Amino acid sequence: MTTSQINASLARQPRTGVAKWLPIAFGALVLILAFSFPHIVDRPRFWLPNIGIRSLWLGIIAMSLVFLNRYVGLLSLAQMAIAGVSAYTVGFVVVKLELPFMWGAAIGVVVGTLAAILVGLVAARTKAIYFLMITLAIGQVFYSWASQSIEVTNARRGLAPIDRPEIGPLDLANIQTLYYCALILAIVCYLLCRYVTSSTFGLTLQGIRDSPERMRALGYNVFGYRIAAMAFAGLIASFGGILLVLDRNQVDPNVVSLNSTLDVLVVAVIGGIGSLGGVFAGAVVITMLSNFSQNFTDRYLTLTGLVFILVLLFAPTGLAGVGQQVRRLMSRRRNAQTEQESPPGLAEPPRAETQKGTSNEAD
Amino acid sequence: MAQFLMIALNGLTLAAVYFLVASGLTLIFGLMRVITMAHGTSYLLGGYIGYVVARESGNWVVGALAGAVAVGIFGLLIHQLLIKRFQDDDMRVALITLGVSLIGTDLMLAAFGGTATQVPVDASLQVATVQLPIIGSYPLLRLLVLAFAVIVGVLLALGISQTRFGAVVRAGVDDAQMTAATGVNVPLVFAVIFALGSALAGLAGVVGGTLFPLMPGQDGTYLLFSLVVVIVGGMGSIPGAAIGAALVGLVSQFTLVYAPTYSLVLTFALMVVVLAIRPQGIMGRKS
Amino acid sequence: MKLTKKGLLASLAAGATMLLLASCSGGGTAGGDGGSSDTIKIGVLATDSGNLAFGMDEAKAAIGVAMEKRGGTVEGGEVGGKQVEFVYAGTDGTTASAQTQVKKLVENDGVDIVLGPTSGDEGETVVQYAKGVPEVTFVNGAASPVGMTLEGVENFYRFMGDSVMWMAGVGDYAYNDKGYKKMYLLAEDYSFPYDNAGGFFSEFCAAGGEISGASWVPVGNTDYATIISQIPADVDAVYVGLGGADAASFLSQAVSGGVDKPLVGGSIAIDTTALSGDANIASAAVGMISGGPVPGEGYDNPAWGEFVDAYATQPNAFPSPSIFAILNYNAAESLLLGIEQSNGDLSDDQAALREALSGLSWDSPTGPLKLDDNRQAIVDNFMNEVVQADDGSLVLETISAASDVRQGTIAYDRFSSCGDLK
Repeated sequence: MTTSQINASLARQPRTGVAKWLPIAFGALVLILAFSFPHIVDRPRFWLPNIGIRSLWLGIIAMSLVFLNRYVGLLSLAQMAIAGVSAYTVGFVVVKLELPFMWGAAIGVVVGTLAAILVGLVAARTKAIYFLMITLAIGQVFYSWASQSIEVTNARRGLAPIDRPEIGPLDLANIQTLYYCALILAIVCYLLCRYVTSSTFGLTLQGIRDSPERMRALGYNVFGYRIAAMAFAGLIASFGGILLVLDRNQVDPNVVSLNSTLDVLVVAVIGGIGSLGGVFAGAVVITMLSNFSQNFTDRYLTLTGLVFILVLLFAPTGLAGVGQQVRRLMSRRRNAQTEQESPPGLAEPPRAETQKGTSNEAD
Repeated sequence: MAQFLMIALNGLTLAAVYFLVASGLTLIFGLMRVITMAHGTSYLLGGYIGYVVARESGNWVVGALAGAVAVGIFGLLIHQLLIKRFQDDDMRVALITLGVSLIGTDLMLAAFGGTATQVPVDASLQVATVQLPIIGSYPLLRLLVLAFAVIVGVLLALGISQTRFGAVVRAGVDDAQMTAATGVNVPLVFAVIFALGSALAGLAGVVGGTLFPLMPGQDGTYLLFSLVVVIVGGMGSIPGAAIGAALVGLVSQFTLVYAPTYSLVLTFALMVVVLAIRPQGIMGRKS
Repeated sequence: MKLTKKGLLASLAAGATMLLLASCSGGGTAGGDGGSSDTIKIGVLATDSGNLAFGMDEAKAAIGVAMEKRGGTVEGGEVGGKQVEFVYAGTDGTTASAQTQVKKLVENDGVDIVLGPTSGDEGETVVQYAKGVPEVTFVNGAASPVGMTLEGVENFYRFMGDSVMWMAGVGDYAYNDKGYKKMYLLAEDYSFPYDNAGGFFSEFCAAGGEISGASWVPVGNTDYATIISQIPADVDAVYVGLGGADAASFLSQAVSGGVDKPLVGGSIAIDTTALSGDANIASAAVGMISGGPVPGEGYDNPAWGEFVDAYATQPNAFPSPSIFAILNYNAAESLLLGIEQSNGDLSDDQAALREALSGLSWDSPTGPLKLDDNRQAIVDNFMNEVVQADDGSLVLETISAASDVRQGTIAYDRFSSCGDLK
């Protein structure tokens, strides 16, 4: 029995008592916290942009990565680049074409999604580790291009200023309004991911993740489904990119640099790379570290790297898995002989064994 | 014509450095089916150690040996402490080594500073040139690096195809479980290969650090280039790494002249083209 | 709902941590509202990681020199009858971290004044940010992009030349005194070298010189062999618009590649660390002229000597002050003089301080310093040449100083001929 099957059977167990209402209570509490955040912090003009909004867009982009990893079995390092494409599109439309922001946002989401499809066309024929390497390299192609193309991206200078717009009654220049818009966008993205994963499309994707051969034999177009999944994740990442522009008021190559790419990965891993909601926990940890680690250490990257490795070594389900690990420990104590020894997988559930092959061509 | 050949030769000598880095990566992958994202870190660390030792001892060869050996031990430590347990989980190995590279970048910056250094060689060697037909005078140092890479490549290829250890490695590539069943100590072979692959990156760091500056950021750059080289050449194949390195080196030098603005973009685009035509890489095997 | 649990739990945990930290960090003073308080908080933004990691040490050394003169320390002291306190925030030289840290300084630490940043990319971002917080005064640290003071941001002051001004006088000198008529342009492909080379070639072309070709080298390229082979045989000299590591790498490859042309360096092509390094660059570097805000050997100004001596006593000081040390010193000293002249009065949106800064005129270690109407400094600029001392070591010697250099209004882009500059 593999971990995924164990998890699946655990998930299928009917929940009783505490187990049933606890998640709902937690959910409500998190939402209350998130919505009251601007009113509890002492310096909202610092906390809202530096921690709140930044965590939300980092989280949304990381969520697109988690979606691909968990439900499609592809770990894409191009998600930041895709968000960058949509952010750059906004910048281009607003700064170079001098059109309103909302035009930029709309075109940005479309172009970002198209970019994701392109990435998929190049990379989705490969899998696992190859997919990771290729998407990393594709991200760097975009970075190199963005740093050089004066005509489109304004090269290293980047596109600025991109002012926060007024949309109807909403004045996004007001930091509190922007925070609530970002929060609602994050919730919408989350629900969208949840909806897709529980749809027929999502179930097919998971079937392909677990056994591409079988699904192909059943007549499914595996490649097509993967591209579609990439497109959906690209859409989510593009939303993150729009939010990023609103937060930063500018876009420059730094947005898609290797470090930014790794930031998103670190957020996903610390949050728990199998959890759609956990990414926001990871994002909060990373933004807190980047703002406050200077108070106690000069070595921010070393600290981040250590946390990253420790999570991978000892808590592969990340922050999101803390509760589950505790529960597993407890149930193990209660029922030692029925609980099987199962090494934790990276993804949850982990990739099926079939995904590891000797060629970088898929299946 | 002379200019064309000159650029081609520059491309090949640059490729020599790329090959040295990528050969370690492809060797490790060939046997263990894992990718170490700390490979760029090994390159830079090797370069820095080579720089310090060569400067103190006044001898480049001592520096090169020190860089290779120290990074070999570094690789062994990473293998034993962090990734041995996850031998079968290639994804987790990639991510853990990525974490190692984050820490490595930061600690090397703390130790060696942000300014660039270069591994010192004898001044007479630095200015020495040789007369080549058509091209004319050409720096001897770059030709020596090319020759060195060719020798390392041939030794690696022969080592794998001709020696008993190579036979074990080849058997391990084909079927690790079956190899273990025949009494070969596979974990030991894995550890040796991982250390050897890291040592190659360290050695490449000293060689590359003699021609080009060593500074923060070079670790990421060389990781990316070696990934591109092995993807283009075909993962796990030493001749593939050589072909991949040559292509990447040539494309980067020719584009530097004919399309300098997008030189790096086009170099990476090479990978996309190869993948579109031949997803397993030029010398990669199709299963 | 069952699947949401893990995510929600994690978010909850993170949220709780966040609030805990929020309440902990709330202990700071209620700065930012200036006037009423007796303490003036100055936030210092400088690079402490990445390739310019030494920026923070140099900024601290500069502030140390300025404060110790007044009996204070790098942490603060009494200036103009008020207590001045410095808060330091490190960046990695990228716009993202500059945005994060400058917001933190202003909004969380509640500083009244920001001194910084270090790099050009950061500078443009900080100017954009300064627009949105008119109640805070910004004094530039070492960022040199042309546009920063051309955007009419009323609360931003720069007590140094921009990257075009840094080449003032060199183009004329190259054409008239050195006799270079045709030059090849080789520079890194981003905004700083555009402006820096633009400053040089606008003079050089106006004097009658000619650009016979250009290589804009992508950022990150370290192999110059092919580019060196592109330099035409008939040029009189080569302009090298590379910085730090790349310049050192170019020089060492130029030695290997047998470049025998005289070189003209951009403002960051030669620094003392490269000259004292191990690389064998003498044959290529000797005779190279360049322009910039830092004087070399032989600069005759007692204030410069005093600064160099005081700098040497600071922790983590280099053998001689880097460009960041002197630029940050001029900025910090100007700011402190402004605070003294306005008696530390920050009321009325810091009007008195700003008036004092605008009207400031003093003799800095690098010559007379005052501001133009855009709050941009009018400065002296130096032309230096690499010479070989008797003991064989390479030193930078000041040939001349251009005085009263004023900012132009042009920001340059890639160009490859004199025609492009018109």
